[in-house]
Amino acid sequence: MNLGDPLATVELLVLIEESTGALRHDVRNRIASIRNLAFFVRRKLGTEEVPDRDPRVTEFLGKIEGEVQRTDELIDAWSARVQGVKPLAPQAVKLLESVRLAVEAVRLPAGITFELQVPESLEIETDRELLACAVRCLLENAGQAQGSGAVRVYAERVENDARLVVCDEGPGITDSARCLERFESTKPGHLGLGLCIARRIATRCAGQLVIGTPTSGAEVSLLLPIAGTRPAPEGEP
Amino acid sequence: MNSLLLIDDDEGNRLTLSALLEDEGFEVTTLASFADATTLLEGNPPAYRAVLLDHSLGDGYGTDLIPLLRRVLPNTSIIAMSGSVGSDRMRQDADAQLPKGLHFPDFLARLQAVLSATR
Repeated sequence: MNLGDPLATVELLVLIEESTGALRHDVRNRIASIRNLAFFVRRKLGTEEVPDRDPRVTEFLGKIEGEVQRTDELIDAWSARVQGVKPLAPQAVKLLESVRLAVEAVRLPAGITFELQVPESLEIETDRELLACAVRCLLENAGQAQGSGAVRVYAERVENDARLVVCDEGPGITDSARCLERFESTKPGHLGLGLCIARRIATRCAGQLVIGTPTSGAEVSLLLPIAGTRPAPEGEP
Repeated sequence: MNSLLLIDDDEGNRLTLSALLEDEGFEVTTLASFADATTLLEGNPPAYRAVLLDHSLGDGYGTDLIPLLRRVLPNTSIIAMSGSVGSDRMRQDADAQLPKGLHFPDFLARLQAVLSATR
């Protein structure tokens, strides 16, 4: 972790969330399934008479239900602990401010610059550093793909959303589904989590990440609700 | 009408949830993927009282099915189910949200409340 990086803590927390997200989702599915199976069995035990049933059947069923409940609580506690490290502070944030912060914190070789066309009027209900973290992921992805020169970044209002677009003149994205798979990267030494992190943050802001289909290069955009146009997102994911 | 469409890529959840809901008198149709759901919806599907829609479907996201569901089944309630993060956009686009890990009696009570509210 780079201690001089203003986005390091936020990025680390989102990285943990993202890298464990699939595991937590799958464990939750298993928990739901076991809980429902146990409920089904308990209901049948209550309605069907079985002579000489071992009393431990009911007792052990209760143990299964208890273990499932404890596992569920462990996941909740773990998530709450990670999120509690740095509670986010949602407020109306100027998109341009977050883009500028992302540009300042970008980790790319010299020779890559950013051509910004972001209206100052666009505001998003989110945490400034969190949004900057998502933008930085897109900037670094585009800069690495392009290698040198200016990466174009522009934003516009589309109905109640702000659309932030990052365009590069690199080789382009041939498989948009694969580039959003965790731990999938065509670049040696990369984790393949950058776009996943950006997508997670966009989702947290009640928005979405969109892979475009330009005639050349790549185009990745964040579609984010403009502050005051939607109900505030519920809690933290 | 007590028919439900359950779209979930998790076999265990499909099996157990459909069995429990059928015991409560619902007719449950299950689909295992985004692709299966798209095929059904694009082929003149029957009416359903509600769709129970998982967020992550393996080959796509439940969020992205909602526009097609709204167009093809305009009178069907869309209930988003999620095992973890879910999606704020899905919460907003769906008619209701039910956490997957709920104890079934609680899940059923909340489902019935949603169905009553959207009748």
